[in-house]
Amino acid sequence: MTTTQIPTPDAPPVAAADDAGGPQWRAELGRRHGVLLALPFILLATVLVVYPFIRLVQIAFGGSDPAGELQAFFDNRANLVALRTTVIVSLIVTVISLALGSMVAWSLRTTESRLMRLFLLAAVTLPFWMGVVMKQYAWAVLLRSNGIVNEALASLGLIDEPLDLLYTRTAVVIGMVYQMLPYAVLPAYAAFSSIDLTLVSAAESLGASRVRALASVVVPLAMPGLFATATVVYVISTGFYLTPVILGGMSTPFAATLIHQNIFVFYNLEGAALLSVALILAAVAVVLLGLALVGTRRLRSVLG
Amino acid sequence: MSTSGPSRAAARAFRWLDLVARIGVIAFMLAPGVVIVLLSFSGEPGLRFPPRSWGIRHYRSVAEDETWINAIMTSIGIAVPVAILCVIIGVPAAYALQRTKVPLKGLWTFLGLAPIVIPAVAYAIAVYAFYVQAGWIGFRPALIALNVALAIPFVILIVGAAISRLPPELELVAMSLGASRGRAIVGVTFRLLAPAIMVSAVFCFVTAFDEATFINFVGGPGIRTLPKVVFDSLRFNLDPAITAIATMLMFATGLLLASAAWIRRKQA
Repeated sequence: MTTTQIPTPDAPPVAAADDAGGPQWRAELGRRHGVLLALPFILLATVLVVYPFIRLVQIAFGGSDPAGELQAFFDNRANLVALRTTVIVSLIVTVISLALGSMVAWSLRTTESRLMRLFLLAAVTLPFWMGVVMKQYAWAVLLRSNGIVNEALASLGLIDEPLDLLYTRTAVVIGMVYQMLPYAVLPAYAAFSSIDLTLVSAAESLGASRVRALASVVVPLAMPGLFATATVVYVISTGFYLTPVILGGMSTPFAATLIHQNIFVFYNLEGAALLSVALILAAVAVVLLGLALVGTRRLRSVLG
Repeated sequence: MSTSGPSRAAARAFRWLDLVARIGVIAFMLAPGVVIVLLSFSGEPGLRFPPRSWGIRHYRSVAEDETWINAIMTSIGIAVPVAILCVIIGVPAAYALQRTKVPLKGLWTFLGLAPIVIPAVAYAIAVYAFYVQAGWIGFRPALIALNVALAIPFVILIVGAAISRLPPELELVAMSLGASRGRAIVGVTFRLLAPAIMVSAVFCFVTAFDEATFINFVGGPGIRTLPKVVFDSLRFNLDPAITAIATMLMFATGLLLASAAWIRRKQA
């Protein structure tokens, strides 16, 4: 549709007039045509990505007494506890997802068993086929007090009475790892694909154990890719809404839960907006802190 | 060295541990899907596992309840226009970002891809604040526009990658044979991009059909998509009929995504 409306010059020399002095036929369209083609997209990004955040900041800090509201926000312990819980749980989820995801990716890279390969691929693919609410439902069915996990543990004689799994932080961690792990596998697999497997055999033939060979050969080579993945997984994790609300329940303190209550129970848009801004800042702050700790120098040395 | 006793035992222990860990992760990742499919064919009214009898009562209760059918139709009614709009807006944009000198290219790419990464709750509140001000809560076109913004990163990524693999000289060849620039783009580049465009449309459809976070804030009471109806019911109890819907959805999504992957592989 849009493409047929490009004001196409009939003769190529006219197109070249766009950029005086250039060659007559160029592989690239001029700036004006580019802007025209991208315009709807640019408008969409401006209206639905940039403007909402301007509005968010306006509402969070635009009251009659911004300083007082900020004071009240920090005096409310519930806000701080919720933010802390969200950051800690997101970090835990990131570490577990990356560790398990790397393991799956490494197995996919090295396994010679077709059956193992099939199961690993199914394990990574199946979650993409389930709807996102359905995943929460499935874990609620598995984790509730008379649910499948508890019954299995009881029938094995491991527990006498059902564990409280649903509506806890553990349930949220389980649900979030389940959702983030496939996203950690794909980049890890890409990072591992470029590693020459003979390097591992070389290390082993020089006397390194398998663990040592993996730790000192594979991990440093895959480091930049894994670090980028960790950043993305962490930031996405801080924004989870359904999992804290459904698997965490209303009494487990998560920023998402508190935001939900602010909107639907207390009708406090200002509180929700402040919490949202704080959540974004917390997400960014941890990423920056991580960069400072790992050291851009070390990251750069790994990148070569 | 590596043939000595203790290190050999350690290597064997490591291999076993590795196998156990792999099986554990596979079980963890497959359990929810497998359990839901099995439970959907339970003949019992509850969610006991494993079921003592089998049947299709949950499927029947879905077919008899208008709420579910309406919710599915509402979701399709949003996801189809989203997929179409994503292609109409996203494909020319992906082309412009790859092949032309748009000013601030990096900024637009970043903003266009941002919806995948920004913490979703915070983004949802930001959009909610905007839509409250505009009076767009529960306004269907606004919901569709939002879903386009959420899904369009897939078009930019998938179609953009496909464009970067096409030699730009193809258009020049067409033009040297007398085609206008527009005809060269539509007749050569876009025709070669057709598989990638279809794959990205499938991703956009699935993303919009499945969107369950923003709808709670901006959908209002009037727009009840399938994820919204399921979410609302989850807060009161675990309706066993949902196992049947989840199973049907899993197969439909699997079929869609698998055919998308097939198209993509055929192209490459």
